Amino acid sequence: MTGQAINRETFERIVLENLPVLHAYARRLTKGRSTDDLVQDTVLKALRSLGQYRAGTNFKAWIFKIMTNHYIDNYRKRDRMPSEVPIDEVFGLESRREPGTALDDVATVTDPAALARVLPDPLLRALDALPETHRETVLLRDLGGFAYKEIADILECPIGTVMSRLHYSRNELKKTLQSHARAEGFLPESEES
Amino acid sequence: MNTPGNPSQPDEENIDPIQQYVDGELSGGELASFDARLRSDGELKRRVESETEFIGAVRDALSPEPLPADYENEIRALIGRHWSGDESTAVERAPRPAPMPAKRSMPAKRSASKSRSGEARRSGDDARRPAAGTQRPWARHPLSRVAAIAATLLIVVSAVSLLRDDSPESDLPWIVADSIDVFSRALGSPARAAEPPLRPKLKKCDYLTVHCEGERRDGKLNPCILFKGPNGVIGYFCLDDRVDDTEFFEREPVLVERGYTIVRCGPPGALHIWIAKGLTPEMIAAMIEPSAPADADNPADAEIHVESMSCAGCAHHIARILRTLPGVADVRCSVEERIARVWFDDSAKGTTTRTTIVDALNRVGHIAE
Repeated sequence: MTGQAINRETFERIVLENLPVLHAYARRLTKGRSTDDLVQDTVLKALRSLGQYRAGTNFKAWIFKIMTNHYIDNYRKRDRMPSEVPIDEVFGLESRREPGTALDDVATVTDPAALARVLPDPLLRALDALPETHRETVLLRDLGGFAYKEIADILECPIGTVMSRLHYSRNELKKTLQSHARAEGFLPESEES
Repeated sequence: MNTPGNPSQPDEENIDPIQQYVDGELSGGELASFDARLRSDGELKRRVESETEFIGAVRDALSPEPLPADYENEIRALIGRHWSGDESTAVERAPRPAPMPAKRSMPAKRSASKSRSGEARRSGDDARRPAAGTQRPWARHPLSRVAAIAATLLIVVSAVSLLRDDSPESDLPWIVADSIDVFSRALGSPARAAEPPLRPKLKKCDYLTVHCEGERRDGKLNPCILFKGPNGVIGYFCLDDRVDDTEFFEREPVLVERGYTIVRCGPPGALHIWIAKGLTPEMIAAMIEPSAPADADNPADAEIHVESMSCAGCAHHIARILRTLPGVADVRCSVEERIARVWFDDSAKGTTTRTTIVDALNRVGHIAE
């Protein structure tokens, strides 16, 4: 059914409900380069494509699919640049060594979960360094909260690929956190995850 | 292990039951079986807890930050601008046929004629351009679609040349759309005035002056919006929407709060307001065509009554038209008297006559006699 059963109020309400997540997804997709443009383009594209929206289906997944496809078609090539990390940020952890923070205890920590809690910035940078298809998968799962099947529909890939990408991506994130903590001297060289 | 060189390929080891469990993707027998293993396997339990905490940390790091307070309003305004107004959607539907308008189409003609030269130079970012088919009040005017497209082209082309390095080209359609919003709200119903404020990008429009004019007819306002740069009028939008506007002057502070300068108002019974953003009243006054009453010491060679000269914008347009005629040395217009006074160049007297002036004005849509 290609229904026209969505009115302005409903459209506006659903878009606004999902706006923070859409915006965050756009920000991570574009690495902050064209976030507002991507969000606005997505809303406009959704408006223009409302005739194709099937009433009763998942509107959130539909608009995320629009954003993902629009990003792939129009932004990905433009935004593709070498991943750059300012040297000050890499070595800026010293300034975060404040008494009472979890970072004080990080030298004794081997658990990547604990590392992720105290090293959110390196975690996000590691996420940005993932292959784009993998980054999109992690974002749709851990930011968008979509089920594997929905992610497979949005990315138009098999569900097994979604699971594989998630597994690979999360392992990469853990490895990056470990190596980052080791490079900063928070973990012994021989420490294994 | 997964293969680093080709991580997209799913394999049995990559499809991790721990991950599926933590992600809530196991169900039925798989879930029951995993729960049973979890109860008996301490190592598995530890790995699940670690994975749960790690994924929780990733989600925390990714959790959306609060958006600026006006961002929702921007998106709401964006939807409002581009929604067809028809509750059953179809955004790009053509506007409904409109009834014949009142006799007041001159600005639209003006825009349409100007647009012909600017059409080829139209720059593109359709997503940011105000949609021609949206159901704004002025969209019900039969010439409105042509006028809207023409004026948009004109504004974009002219403003690009005006602003050049001061404002990115891609922002200009926003500026136009938002300017229209300001005035449609200011001139429209109180309900419309209560809509969300402008997006901040409007501040890039520091050199684009917006002139809003209108006449009261039978107690109702017939408004028109004019965009003007330092070099002259660059576009029109007509609002063929008769709105009650008895409270307009009480709402002026709203515009002032938004950073606009109201340069002048009047005369009574009509609405003539020059509004600018980022310009002082003096700077704007210098751009407005001076309203020139009769000068006994220097009588004009010809005085033309122009019935359609209802505002400073009209006066500016009329003066520009007449200055292009051969033999015309100077032109002064009086909006109050609706008269254009013309001084001829002594050396070229006779090349332009009163008749040719009237014809020239009537040809561009004015009503001169």
